[in-house]
Amino acid sequence: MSELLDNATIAQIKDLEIRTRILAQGAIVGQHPSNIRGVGIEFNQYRVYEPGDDPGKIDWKLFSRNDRYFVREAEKESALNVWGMLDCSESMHEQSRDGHWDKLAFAKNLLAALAYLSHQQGDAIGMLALNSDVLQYLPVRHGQRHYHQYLLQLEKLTAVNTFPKWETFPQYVHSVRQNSLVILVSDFYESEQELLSLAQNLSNFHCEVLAIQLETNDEVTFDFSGEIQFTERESGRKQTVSAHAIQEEYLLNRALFNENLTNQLAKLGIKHVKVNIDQPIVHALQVVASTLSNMGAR
Amino acid sequence: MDWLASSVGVWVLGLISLAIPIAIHLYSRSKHQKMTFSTLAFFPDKPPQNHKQIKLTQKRLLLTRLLLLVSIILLLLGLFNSENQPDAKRILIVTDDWLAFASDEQRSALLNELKNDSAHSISLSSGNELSVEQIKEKTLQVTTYSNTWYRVSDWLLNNPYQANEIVVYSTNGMSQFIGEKFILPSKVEWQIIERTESNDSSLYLSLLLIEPNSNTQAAIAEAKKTILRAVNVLNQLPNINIEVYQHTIETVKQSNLKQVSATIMLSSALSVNKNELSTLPTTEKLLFVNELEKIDSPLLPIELIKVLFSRHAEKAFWQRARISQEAITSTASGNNLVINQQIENTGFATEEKPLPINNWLALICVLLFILERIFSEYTNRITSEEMRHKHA
Repeated sequence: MSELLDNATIAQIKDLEIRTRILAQGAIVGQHPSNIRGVGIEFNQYRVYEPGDDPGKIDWKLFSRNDRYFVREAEKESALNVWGMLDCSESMHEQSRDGHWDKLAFAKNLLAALAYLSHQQGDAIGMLALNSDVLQYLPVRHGQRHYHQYLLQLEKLTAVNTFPKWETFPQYVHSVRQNSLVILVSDFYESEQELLSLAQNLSNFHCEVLAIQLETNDEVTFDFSGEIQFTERESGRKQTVSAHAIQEEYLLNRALFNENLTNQLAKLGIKHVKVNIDQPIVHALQVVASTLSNMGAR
Repeated sequence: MDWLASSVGVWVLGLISLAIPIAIHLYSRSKHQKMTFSTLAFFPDKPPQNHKQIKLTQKRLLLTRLLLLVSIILLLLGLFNSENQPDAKRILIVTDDWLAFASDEQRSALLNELKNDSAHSISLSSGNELSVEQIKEKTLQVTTYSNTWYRVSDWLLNNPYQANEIVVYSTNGMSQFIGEKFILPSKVEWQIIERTESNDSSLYLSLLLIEPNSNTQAAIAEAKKTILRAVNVLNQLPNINIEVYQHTIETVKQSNLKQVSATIMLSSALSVNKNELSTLPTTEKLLFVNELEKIDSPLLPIELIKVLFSRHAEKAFWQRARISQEAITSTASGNNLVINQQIENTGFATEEKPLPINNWLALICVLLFILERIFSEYTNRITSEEMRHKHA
């Protein structure tokens, strides 16, 4: 098992599994019934026929050899592709107040948990991690081995530089097809609307997109005091301010930014969720699962 | 506090040192925190200057440090002052009697002692330092009365010198040791000139105490007790016999007393009828108790001596009266030994020596230092917590 998921976390997200299963099998999958017919049926075992079983599932060839009724059982594979898209820019190094982890580490854990759930449900999982230096791409696949590869790749991710421009990676995004659920994890700090371009293109592919915006308590409250020289992580730009004096304006600008982001994503049919990394990750998972359920119920 | 004004250089240095903590605090105030942050996009383009931030932080700490420095400066100035005091190792206390009777050789020996820089000669009567000329000059041999033990003890209690050795130069004239004997607060070496003339004849004196007719007041009773004690001290001197008669105006008429050396009325002059005074026995001196009340009890025997020995012949007695060296230098001499701690109980007009200002300053320094440490630790803890929270 990957270090990203310890036993305690797995135990905590077991409950979520049920809700997400409903989501995956009932809600989202149900929206595309014609596409899943005959797909994902893989032989698992024979079982002795019991009254109530569908007679259509009886293996007649086996009956001819053994003179007994056996029902052919299959392991179902979901037609859902779950994509984890992760912003690996420098700003994702912003830490929680207690210094326990940064946004990147939180995002890794969150995606690992969601990947675990998806894998348990038989969904295919894939990943696209982006920054202007490195692009980590893992196509969607089923199976235990692929799941482990997913976790391994997730672990290796580092956050540097900025988010890349859309023009540099469209070919990877084009592999995202219908029946896909894209979970985009980022702080949505962008210089030239790179993240919004990605979201817009994803929405064009008619796939479900959930945008998870990571925040920290420091960013949300900005309760600093005294004279502070702030250095922006991605650009290195410095600005010395009296923190308390600008708090009000900062919070106002931030509220406007979030409102604007929510509106823009809503126009694209993308649900926007804000997650504070200073809160327990299980809480974040519950919020995400709840949102996914709502998305599926539409 | 002349010493404060006398050390201008130290003051200037002290004031300069006061600027140091202020500069440190100003520097630490201007030294803003540094912090990396995810984005500056939400910062206003022209952030307002918050004037409240310009005020000094950690004012309590600064104030404590300034007070601590001021205390240290004052303490050092005090020490500087005390260091400027004569740092004599050997103090030579010289009585007037010694100056009158010392031979040339003895004076030369004293002057030789003074060649050592750490030695100082002090006049016991004036408390001032003696010049070479004063030591060389032979003063008139006049009988003076003194309680040298008391004077030396008093000088030692108030002396400004950091003396290691104290030598008292005196004669063995009895007139120099009239009164109760004191244990001296520090060890004293005695240099006694033996005056060879001796006096074998005894003096017989009489003192008449006239008590008031009415009930005796407590103050009068106390005064009478003090006088009797002084007489007792005098009676312990060799060859002196003082007889005390105690009467009222009425009883003295009935007595056969014809003549006394001195009479003391144990009442004020105002309350006595002048006609009654004419009925008193013949007396050479008459005085009222209120004249003695102003005199410190250790010096009362000397005053009594002056009252009782007014006649020329008796003055001559004093010029020849001697006291043994052993009686001068011994620490245990019977009833007339007075321990310094009992000074208050004997009604001596001695002032309690106040705690030197340096001691107070040292105490304040220690307290301020503790306070500074507490504030400093508190400030550091707050700062480190802030830094941890803000992960600067």
